[in-house]
Amino acid sequence: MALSIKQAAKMHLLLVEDDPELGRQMTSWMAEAGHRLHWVETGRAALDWMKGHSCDAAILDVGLPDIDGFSIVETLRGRGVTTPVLFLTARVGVPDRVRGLAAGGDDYLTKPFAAEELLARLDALYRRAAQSPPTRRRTGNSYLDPVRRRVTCEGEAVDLQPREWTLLEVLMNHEGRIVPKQFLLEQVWDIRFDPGTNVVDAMICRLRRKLETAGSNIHIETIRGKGYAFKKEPA
Amino acid sequence: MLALFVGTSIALTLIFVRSTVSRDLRRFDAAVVMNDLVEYAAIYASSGIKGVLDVFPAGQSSDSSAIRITSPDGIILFEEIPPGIHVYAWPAKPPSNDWSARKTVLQELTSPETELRLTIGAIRLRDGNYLWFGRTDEEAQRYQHNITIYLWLAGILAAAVALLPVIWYSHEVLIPIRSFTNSARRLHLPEGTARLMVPRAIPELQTLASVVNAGLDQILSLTRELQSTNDQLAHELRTPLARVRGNLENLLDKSDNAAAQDAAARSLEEIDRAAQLVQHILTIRGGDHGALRLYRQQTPVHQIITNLVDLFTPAAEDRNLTLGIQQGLDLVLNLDRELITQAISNLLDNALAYTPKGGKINLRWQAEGTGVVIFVEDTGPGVHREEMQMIWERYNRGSSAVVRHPGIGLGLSLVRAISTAHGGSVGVTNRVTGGASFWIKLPQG
Repeated sequence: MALSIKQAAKMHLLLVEDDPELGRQMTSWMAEAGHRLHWVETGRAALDWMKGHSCDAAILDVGLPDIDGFSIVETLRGRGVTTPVLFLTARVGVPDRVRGLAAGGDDYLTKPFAAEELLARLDALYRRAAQSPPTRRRTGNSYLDPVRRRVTCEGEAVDLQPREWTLLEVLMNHEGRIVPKQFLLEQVWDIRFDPGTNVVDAMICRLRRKLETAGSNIHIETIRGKGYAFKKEPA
Repeated sequence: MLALFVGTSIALTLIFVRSTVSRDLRRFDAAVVMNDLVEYAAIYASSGIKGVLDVFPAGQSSDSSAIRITSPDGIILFEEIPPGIHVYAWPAKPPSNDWSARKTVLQELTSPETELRLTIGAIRLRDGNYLWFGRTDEEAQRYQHNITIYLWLAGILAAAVALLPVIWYSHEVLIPIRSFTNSARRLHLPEGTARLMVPRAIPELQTLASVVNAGLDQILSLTRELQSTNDQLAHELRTPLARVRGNLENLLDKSDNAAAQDAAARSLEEIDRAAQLVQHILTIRGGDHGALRLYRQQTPVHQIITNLVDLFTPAAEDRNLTLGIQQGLDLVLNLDRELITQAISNLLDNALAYTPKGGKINLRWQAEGTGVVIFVEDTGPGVHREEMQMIWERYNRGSSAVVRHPGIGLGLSLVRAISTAHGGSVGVTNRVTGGASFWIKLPQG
């Protein structure tokens, strides 16, 4: 189970955040998730620290008192540092996001955000950086094949629509973690706003019904106020 | 158009002048014939045929006149007729009128062999013989031809001179006004840095342009200020919301108390809704006031719609609704993909909320000009005529209404703001078959 070992891999993270409350919260969340986190409050301190250290990913606030987050990444990329960078910002406009990605950032999360959202995104960044190839895997009586994009249960193929497969795959890739609705919307439908109607719930219910009907012991749990989680056995 | 007008007026002038000139020339020819008749009659009276014989060749330089003397019975006593005048059939006898001395009768002869007309006249001489004199209108026609050419030249020259102010007007006034209009068309776009450009136009237009441009500069600076205020407001609100949200999450995770967990979960939902509400209000205000920054890119409209229908289908089926697409042409337009997706999504959300079970929601789109109109049609109750305008701004007028109904009612205002920011429009009509048809019209960016 190579995938779950990677999942359990403890990341070494850099956090640049000038708000003490948010910094404190993130420090505790990352510790609980098993990651090691170095927290600095200014852009200058971040650039200095990066001279002598390396990390698996950096979380960067954009609105810092000394140097803005975009400039920090530009400087780091100029030095040849390829560490994945996630921007954390109160600016929600698409032009801001585009500017951040153009500066060399890898992902963009707007405040306020859910702890699970941050963890899921860090996971995704890490996975992308590690370039792990899709792996076939068995969970209980089910067999998931990311190459052929299908699930078989006791040898029988479960009839899934392409989107349903993508949804299952995203959940599977974050096994053991709670995946928030917004993260699913972005990963599966490329949608970065809340469409209002309980569209994700409806899609999850349909996927769950199909898996149950096929007799699979893959279970997708709904965690109120947080999101969904992929489990092997019904809780 | 102008050329046609000038040509017609020259031609009309010409026709009039020609007919007048030709009448005058005829009279002139008649007078010449009359005059010569009397003159030759006088020569005949003093010197007889011989005198006429001597004088005629000397007096008539061209081939255009002829002379003949006949007896009262019509027997030709003498004649001098050049070849060109042989083609006319002269009268065989003198006119049978009651002739008195010096009375002359003129008549015009034509011939199928020539276009020239011959004017002839006869006069009774003292010895009872008749003197005939004829003259063709060759000279007159030559004059007329020359006059026609001169008239054309004069007409064209006059028209050219008259056109100069027209050309000046169209070059100095119409063309700048047209470019004025073209640049003015781009002005309404948000973040529009386009300005009226009238290089080489008349001073009055340049003044107008600079006055308008100064106004636009001021609007742009106000717009920028509004944008930065919006950004700042968002930042000031979002950071504390993020702190509160984090603490609530910790409470939800750490608390063993079910009531506390429930309270925390509900508060988390409220916070997310509040953050989204602020975002929507800022987007609506920005869109309505031209201060919404768009990130335009080549966007396949059909793909957005298909993607959204995919997303909404399970939710629609749960409500026992059929969600369909009427495929149109593949259209790629320069739009803010995310905002347009949100606008269409809001219309879908609206349709799902108002269409009763068993109903049908249909999406279709059609090209209009270089843009597109997207329709979301439902089989719901439709919209009251008096509400058709109001629904787009309900909850958007007073902030109090917004606060009382958090998270609801902003959907359509948002749709309108996004469309306006793209230079487009929105509307709703009731379908003949029942239900409403909401549309968004978007021009090519």
